Amino acid sequence: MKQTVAPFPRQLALYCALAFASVAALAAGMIAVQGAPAAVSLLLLGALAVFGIHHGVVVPGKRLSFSPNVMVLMAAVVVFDNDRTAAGAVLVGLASGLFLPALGKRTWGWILLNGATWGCGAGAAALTYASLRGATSAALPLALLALLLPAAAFIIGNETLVVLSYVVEGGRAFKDIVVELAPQLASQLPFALLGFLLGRLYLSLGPTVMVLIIVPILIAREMFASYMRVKESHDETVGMLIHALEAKDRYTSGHSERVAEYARYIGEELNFMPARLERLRFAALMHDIGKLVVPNQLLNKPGRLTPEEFAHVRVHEKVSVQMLSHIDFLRPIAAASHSDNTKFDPDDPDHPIEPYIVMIADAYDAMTSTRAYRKALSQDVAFRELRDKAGIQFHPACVEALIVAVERRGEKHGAGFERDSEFDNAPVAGLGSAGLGDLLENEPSRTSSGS
Amino acid sequence: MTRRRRVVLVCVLGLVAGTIAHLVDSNGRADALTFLAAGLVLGELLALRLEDRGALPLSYAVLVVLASSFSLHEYLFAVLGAELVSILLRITDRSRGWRITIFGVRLAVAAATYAAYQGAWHLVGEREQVAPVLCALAAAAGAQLLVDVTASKLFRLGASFAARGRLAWLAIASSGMLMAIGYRGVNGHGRVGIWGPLLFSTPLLAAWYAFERLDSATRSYRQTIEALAMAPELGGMVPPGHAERVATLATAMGELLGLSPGDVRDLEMAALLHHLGQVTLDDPVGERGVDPAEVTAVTGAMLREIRPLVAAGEIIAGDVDDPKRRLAVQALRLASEYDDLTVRDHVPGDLAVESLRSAPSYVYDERVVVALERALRDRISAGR
Repeated sequence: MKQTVAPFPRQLALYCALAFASVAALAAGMIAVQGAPAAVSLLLLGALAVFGIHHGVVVPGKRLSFSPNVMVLMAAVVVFDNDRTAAGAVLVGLASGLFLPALGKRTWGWILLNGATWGCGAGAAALTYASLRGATSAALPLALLALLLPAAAFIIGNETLVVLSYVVEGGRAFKDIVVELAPQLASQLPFALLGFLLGRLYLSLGPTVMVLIIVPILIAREMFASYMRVKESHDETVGMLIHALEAKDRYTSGHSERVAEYARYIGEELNFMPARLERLRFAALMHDIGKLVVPNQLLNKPGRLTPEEFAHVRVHEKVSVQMLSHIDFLRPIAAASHSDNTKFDPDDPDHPIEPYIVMIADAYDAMTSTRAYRKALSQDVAFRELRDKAGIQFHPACVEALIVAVERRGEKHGAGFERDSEFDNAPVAGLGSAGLGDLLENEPSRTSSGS
Repeated sequence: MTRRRRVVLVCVLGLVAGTIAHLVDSNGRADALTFLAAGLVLGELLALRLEDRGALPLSYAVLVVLASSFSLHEYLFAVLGAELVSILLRITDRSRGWRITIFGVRLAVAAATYAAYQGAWHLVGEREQVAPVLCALAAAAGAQLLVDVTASKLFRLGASFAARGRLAWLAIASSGMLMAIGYRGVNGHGRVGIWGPLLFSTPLLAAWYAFERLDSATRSYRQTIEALAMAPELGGMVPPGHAERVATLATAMGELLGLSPGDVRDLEMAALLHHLGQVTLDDPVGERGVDPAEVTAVTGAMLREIRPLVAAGEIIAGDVDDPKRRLAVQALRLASEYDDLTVRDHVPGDLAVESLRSAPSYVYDERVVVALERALRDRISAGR
């Protein structure tokens, strides 16, 4: 995937220059003590490192990235340790800062910082590796255990400078940044270990074998890039669908996005994994897809629908289920999404929870939005209605999850807090298919419903 | 049993069997052979999925390791054992005929791998140097490709050497070679034993994961498009199945007209979605007679708002300058009109073609009408 360079804040410039100068001084010191590393290996591994920095793989939604650069640097640690010239690994690390987009934009701070972080990591690994020479040259799997230490040293050396840069830049807490970067650190470990083995192969068999390991990594990267493109296309297409839907039914402008947002709140409260959250987002965005087949005149009819018209509109639920069932990853959710099946049933533990979530998000947005036929209810009234019907109509845990999530975010929805209402003349109490007039004082009771 | 469970089962059983083999034959290679056989089974479960339902199993990489380091009877023992276990694990997959075909293909690939490696190794004089070893390993990987592509064509197992297939093969071949070198070493150098295949399979597993994500995303996207295509049909605006039939016919015509794979893909998308705009039009409830030109214009405009569907939108709107793509526009219109005549108006197929052929020459290019006839003939001969 294409890597981009963000504008570099000036306050970091001094830090970057200092970090780079320190690591460069370390390399110079090592050369003075141990001598210069072999030029051929330095050029080859340096070129591979620069190549690697341009070909990282980012796993979408998981905050993970795999960079061949980690492997190249660890291989460099092994190769240069053979000549007792650890400076070689540090120099290869410093070369890793040469990221072409950054060079093109002349963001020197970015280049210096990256060179320093990779160089620092490589230096830490090289020194640790040298101190463990006896253990790391043992047979596998003992050597792998010993190699964990230089791998850890690499990660610590590399990430310490990264974390400090965040602290300098934004004054963020050290702990928060470490927590954010933790998955990234864990993902580097196997590639670091692989790099050590690659270094051994390089020493035994020459540089040709390096190609064999670079090829599958490049292919993995290419496939991830294709995956990202398809995913973007999917998102755009669904966006178009929502756009078309809302063009038909102007009373529910922004409804699908809001339902998807509330559904995400609930999913996050229930600790859904990213892939499940993604499925939930699609299900929520597309929950009204069947409205595409409802004639515009019915969707936009002001006032109350006749029973026949209402039945016609209700067909959209069946159509939604049919359409969503065509999509493999939505099928389990779609089958349970018809309104006949979304009413909470405590005796059905196998019922997927996602349709319950979408139903609550849908109902909450319907209550807190102004429609042509009535004004929005207040957030308190909507919360009260959800809690009143929890365990009867709505899944209780999902109701609480939504309320907790909204309150924790300090968000206000409903009367007085609407983002994009265009129905100033709507009546206060409900008319039409989802009037919800029962939720206001002194109104006869009716059942709440989504859009 | 889900694939994840099958993978865990094979890992556990492989580990147990390998440990027992190590205890029974601590100085021999039985443990390595057992672990690699388990790797073969795992490799059968994990395949790089390609376009057109094809797949290249990771087991091909393990075959290269086995062929380069074990005797013929050890190789046979591992391959036959692993493939038989794989058949049992695939018991719920597709038809029995498919499973038998796959079993046969795998045995043929295994035989070719061993023969090619041994042949090449003999040709290079069995010199324990990097270049000759790499040559022999490359020959083994190349033989796998040859047999797999031939078998895929012969038994219609999918396009194993289409665009994505070439990359998949490259990933498997390079990883197999590296794993083999890690296992056997060269002239005593670089040998890490069973750890070689284990650790050097990491990049291949990363590639597998990427292929899985891509396959899943591609399938979901395609299904979303198909679901959208269903909307006008479910709303009773067009006959059921119209979009799918037109897409199948137009795609076949596009291929016969020599359109590029990208243009054929755009044509297929256009065919699936060419009535979508109709759902946004205001029409009196229960009344027919929407202006087709308006549907075309609205759908075209709608799709041109979406980056990945711009080309499909242009085909629907007929707004293209390139002569090849003009053929795509005509293929879509002709396929749609043919389907309207035969399904909606119940006109027999040959009469429908005749009436389309007799339309004024400025309406349809002769080449497009010929492509329609050929596509229909091919469909009949394929029994569809």
